[in-house]
Amino acid sequence: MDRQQQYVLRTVEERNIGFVRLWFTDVLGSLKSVAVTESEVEGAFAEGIGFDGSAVDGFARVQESDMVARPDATTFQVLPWKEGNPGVGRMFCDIHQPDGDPFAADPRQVLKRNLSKASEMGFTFYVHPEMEFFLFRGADDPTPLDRGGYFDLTPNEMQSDFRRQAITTLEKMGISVEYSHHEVAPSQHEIDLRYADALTMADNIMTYRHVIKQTAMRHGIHASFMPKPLTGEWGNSMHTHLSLFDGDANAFYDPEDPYQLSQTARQFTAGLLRHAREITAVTCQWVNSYKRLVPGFEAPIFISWGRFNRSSLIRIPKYKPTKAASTRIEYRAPDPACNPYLAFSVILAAGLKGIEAGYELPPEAEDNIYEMTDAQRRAAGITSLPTSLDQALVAMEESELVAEALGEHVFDFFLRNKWQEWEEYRSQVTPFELDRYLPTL
Amino acid sequence: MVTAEEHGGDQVARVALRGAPNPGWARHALDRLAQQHPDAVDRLADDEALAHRYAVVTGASEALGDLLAVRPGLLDVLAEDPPAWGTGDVVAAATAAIGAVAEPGSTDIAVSEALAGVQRAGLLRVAARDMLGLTDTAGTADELADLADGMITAAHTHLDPDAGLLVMAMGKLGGQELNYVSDVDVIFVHEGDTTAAERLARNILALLGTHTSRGRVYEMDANLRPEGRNGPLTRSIDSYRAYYEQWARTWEFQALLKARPVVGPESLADAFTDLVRPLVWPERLGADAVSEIQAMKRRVEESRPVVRDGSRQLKLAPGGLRDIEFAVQLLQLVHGPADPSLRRRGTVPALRALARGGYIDDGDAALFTDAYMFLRTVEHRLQLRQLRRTHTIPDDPEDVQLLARAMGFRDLPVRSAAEEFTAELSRVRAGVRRLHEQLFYRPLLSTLASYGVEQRVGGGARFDADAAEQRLRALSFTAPGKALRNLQALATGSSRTARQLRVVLPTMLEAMADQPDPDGGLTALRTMVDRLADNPRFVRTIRDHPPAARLLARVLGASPRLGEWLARQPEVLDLLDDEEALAAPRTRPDIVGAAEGLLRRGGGHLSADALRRFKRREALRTALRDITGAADVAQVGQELTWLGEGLLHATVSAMVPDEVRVAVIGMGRFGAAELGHASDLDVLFVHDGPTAVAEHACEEVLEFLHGITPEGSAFRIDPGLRPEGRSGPLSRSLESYTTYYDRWGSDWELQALTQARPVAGDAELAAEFMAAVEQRVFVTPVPEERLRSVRQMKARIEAERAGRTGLNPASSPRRRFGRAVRAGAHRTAAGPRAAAGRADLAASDDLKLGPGGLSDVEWTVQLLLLREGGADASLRGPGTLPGLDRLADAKLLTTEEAAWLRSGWRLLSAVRNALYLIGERDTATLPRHGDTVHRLAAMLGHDGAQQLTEDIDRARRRIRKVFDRRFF
Repeated sequence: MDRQQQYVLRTVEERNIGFVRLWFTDVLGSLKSVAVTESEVEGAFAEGIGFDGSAVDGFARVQESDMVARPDATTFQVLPWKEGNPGVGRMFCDIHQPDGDPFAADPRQVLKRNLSKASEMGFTFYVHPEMEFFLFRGADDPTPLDRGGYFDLTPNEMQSDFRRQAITTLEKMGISVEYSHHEVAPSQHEIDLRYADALTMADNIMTYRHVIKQTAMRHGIHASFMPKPLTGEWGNSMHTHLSLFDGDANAFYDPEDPYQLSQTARQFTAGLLRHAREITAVTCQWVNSYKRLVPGFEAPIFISWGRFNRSSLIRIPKYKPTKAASTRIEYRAPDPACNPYLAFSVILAAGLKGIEAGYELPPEAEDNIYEMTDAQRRAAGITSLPTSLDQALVAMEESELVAEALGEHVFDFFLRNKWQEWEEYRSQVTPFELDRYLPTL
Repeated sequence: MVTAEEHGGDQVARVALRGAPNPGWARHALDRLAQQHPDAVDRLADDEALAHRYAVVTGASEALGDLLAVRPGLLDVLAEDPPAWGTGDVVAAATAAIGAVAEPGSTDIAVSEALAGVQRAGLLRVAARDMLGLTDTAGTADELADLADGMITAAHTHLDPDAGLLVMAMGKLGGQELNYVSDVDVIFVHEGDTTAAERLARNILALLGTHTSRGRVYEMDANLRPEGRNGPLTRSIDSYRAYYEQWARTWEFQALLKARPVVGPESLADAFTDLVRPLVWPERLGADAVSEIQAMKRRVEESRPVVRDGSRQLKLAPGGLRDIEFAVQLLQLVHGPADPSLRRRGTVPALRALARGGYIDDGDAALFTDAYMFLRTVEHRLQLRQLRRTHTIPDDPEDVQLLARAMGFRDLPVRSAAEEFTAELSRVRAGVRRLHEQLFYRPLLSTLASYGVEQRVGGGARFDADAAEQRLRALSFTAPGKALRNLQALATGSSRTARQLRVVLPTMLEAMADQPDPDGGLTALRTMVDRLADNPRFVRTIRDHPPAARLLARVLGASPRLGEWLARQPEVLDLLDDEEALAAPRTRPDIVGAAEGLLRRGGGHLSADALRRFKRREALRTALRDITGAADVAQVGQELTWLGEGLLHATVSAMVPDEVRVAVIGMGRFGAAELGHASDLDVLFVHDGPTAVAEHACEEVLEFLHGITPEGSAFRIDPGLRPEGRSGPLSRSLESYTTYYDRWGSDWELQALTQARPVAGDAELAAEFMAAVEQRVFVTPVPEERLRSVRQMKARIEAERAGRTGLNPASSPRRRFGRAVRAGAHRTAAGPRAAAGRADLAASDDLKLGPGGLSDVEWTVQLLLLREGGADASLRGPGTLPGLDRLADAKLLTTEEAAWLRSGWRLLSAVRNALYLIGERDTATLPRHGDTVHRLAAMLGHDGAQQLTEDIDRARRRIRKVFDRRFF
């Protein structure tokens, strides 16, 4: 029993915690929870909690399906919205096999594996996502609560109440919030988390999504991270700022460079650009994700990078002379409904590949790419992101990089599951078709 | 130039020559001294004893010769046989020297200069005592540690005598085993103000580590602290506690074995010692600690082959200093928790304590102590020459000679000092070569043997059954209790067999421990011994041939199936004897010739029993070559193929009457010369002569080979690929074949014929058959219809398999596959993307027929041969691997595609062979039981079950990718 575990046991007793939820994440990014009573916590530390992996999406495998969830004591938090007597706590878990080896298809393990590859190259991977979501009347009623816009001070008290409460809850759970504001679309909000190493951030995102949904529920409304819930409005994105650190130094920063971008940053960016098509199925994993990636809403369509151009897939945020540590790149494809562990894994793998293979960064796209003709784009060597899930899956299937980053088991499961989703979607007759065709055809 | 002689120093020179290990160095030192301080030479001339000491020191160390030439005042040290300097003496000298140049607390470089001066004088003293024989190597190491302790204490005291900062010695300094030139490892502990403590610690490191005109005092290294160079330089007790309890790994505790307070508040030293004791010595060794110890052991073993400078390395070479130190520490970590007497810092004291407790054998303890001291002495002498840090014996023969003389070896009439030294070094190394066997395993046997017989002298053996189990666990036996009982059954008792086994068991245990299933191996050995105890040859083999014993242990720990074979046929045990023969590849003439010999010896009559014995022996030989890695999967495939050919050849010669000619054509993997251990032999018979006679003869051949005699059966021959399959005649004439293929032959039959190859019988007839076949298989242009029907055939086989899996998903323990198949079926129904390429990779774990399996590779190769072989005759020929090479050469596959198919085919074939060897009945599917996959992974040299699964999945995905692109 280590000190941290003793601390957890003590807290459980002192704060009269009755249950502890053990959290982990399935391959598609859903939060899973096993609750144990306070008396079982000590045993959970010592031996883990056994469960049947075949019940979890993506966990069943060739050998036995028995798995063990081993809580990570450093992630212990009391759930603020469950305050009362007795209270409820939570810890994230690592999934192990009965023989003690970490289970390779546990998304947390997938990310750990990729992070350790980065660390072998001398890097720590930091991320800072801008998470967007909508507030609706209900899960079956996507009516916005306002008609607001970007940074608008809307009079809707419930929503500002909501944000305040969500932020307080996050802070209580040890998650620092950078800032929050109303987004462009009606009823759309953004709460940014302070940058952290990728594993902590992935855990935080899982907590964040849960907290936001919980808080909404308590207000009798519905929060949604669905990538594109409203036709004709902006979608939910998860613009993700990325940087690599070498010890205390930002490995992306080079004062000599006109863009203040180091060779490392350029190669990392080049890697992301070159492999962007292959990793999109992971960063944008739902049929609906591709409804967001359409022209007209500042969503990235074309594979390009730039400093000022908000339509670029990768944006280089303006450099602040006093903050060398803040040099970073912003990857704009992901949406907040991704599995953060897997998304960070493939993003990192693509970037590292660029560094390993010494990719050259193509020139910055200075013009507005939307205004170019097809021929102009082709001449400039600008390709586009997949425009639908099946395109993305075809690109992923061909990718050795993604297979390597996710591991064969997750790679295979993900593809099969997503193809199935695609086929189910394809066989639907949509309101669009009925509106357009039924009257005339 | 002024030389020593001109100063009337010839007498000095003579003395120097007589006493110096290397007179040349001494002479040079004297020359330099004469040049700079002529009067000092006079002092030597006047004092014969001083001159002798001078010669001994400068004749062993050029660096000290230089030092004396610059600072002749240091000759005072040699005025008499110098007594040892304790730490207190060093501190006094250093304090006086600092006081002369700086105020207390100053960090001026003058302080470092003064310290360096004292340190060099101290080194001279230690070296003189060492070379004059006033102390031994252990004493020298001890005195060097005292010197370093003194220097650190002096620096600490000078800067702030009252500070709440404790300096802990780690590594060699902590173990009081310092070299002349080593890193000085320290960590810091403080109480009170952190900033002040950090500054003080940094200043201590700076004073001792700064470059001065005399060089640095020491290379200081504080990186053994928590978090290494990224962690804070000093921590409070609480901070150490927090770190160690939460984060520290076993190797960090291993480092703490050596921790020793040097200077600082005693209360702090006590607190730190109290803090780390339960961490380094927990009450019980936890499972995590055991597996970390195992991992450490593996890392050390694995890092060996990459060692630079090979056997010239004193430290890292096998059986070198690091190995000994490491093995001793491992035993301390395993047994120290239960036995405080083992908690020693130094390697030699620890060896002594281990021997006293019975944890290692007395003789081995003495051997290792001697070896350790010898290697350390070599290291000391090497470093003394230039006062440089080196652990490598020079490769220049002259330098070796100088080193040998410094070690005290002298030229003999028959051998030079260098030769003497090299011989001694080899002897020492040979003594510790079987380090692990000696230190880890042999004592287990001694313990067993002494159970209940007598108590050891001197306190009794503390190495009891519990300790023995603990050790077996650390050495990767998973059920140590059972292992111990097996060992006991094997080695106790007074029978001749038991006595002899006691001698070889340690070496066998060591070999077994690295195998996939050491526990199973030991059980198998026990079974085997029970069965063969009366077989003098068995016991003799393993007793007299340690390599054979080791090999047997490896085989038993890897392959229960082979263990069974060996136990049932002890006559083949002699195969184990001859390592060289086992390592040599078997060629076709070797095997086929031997089979013909059987026939010849029988005077044309073939004994079914003799043939079976021959088959078993050769198959076992190949299996052994497989297990030991002497033959790769392709070579194994060939050797098994030649064996099949030999048997068929001999049998056909014996059975077929003169009135008819019969040729045997190999098909499938037999034709490809790529058999696996479990493969059948696919064949066709072709004859020329009376059909009835031929048919009868072929039946006899089959019967003869299939028949089970007391010696078992030979090979399973499968003639199922013949025209009309099982309902067709066994043998046909050439005309009958050509008629059949021309009129009724299906396209897939023609495709199968791409792998046809004559394997036995009448060579001329076989050649005619091959020519006729080639004409029909390789045509140009190839009819598109033929390719289409081959593709359809493949797709049908796949669909049937998937259907079989899908029909009864409930019977499959893996729901995933049930669901996967349904998902696949759904897609198939849903859209055009449902090409065979979309078939779910994991939908089947059939290594042969499943998606991405062996048959994908084989069909791809064969289809391409069929398509392109007509136009390009150089592509034709049996064999999947050779076929891939030819297709890549002809650019019909990209280099990457060919590489993926090749490595995938090799991996899957190797998995099937390994499955057979570990005794699985079904070699076509990956087993579901986790343990079996683990053992399979270990056997194939993969890092764990998940890694193997991952590698197999990747191979299959890639195979499927190429198949999708090239087969359709």
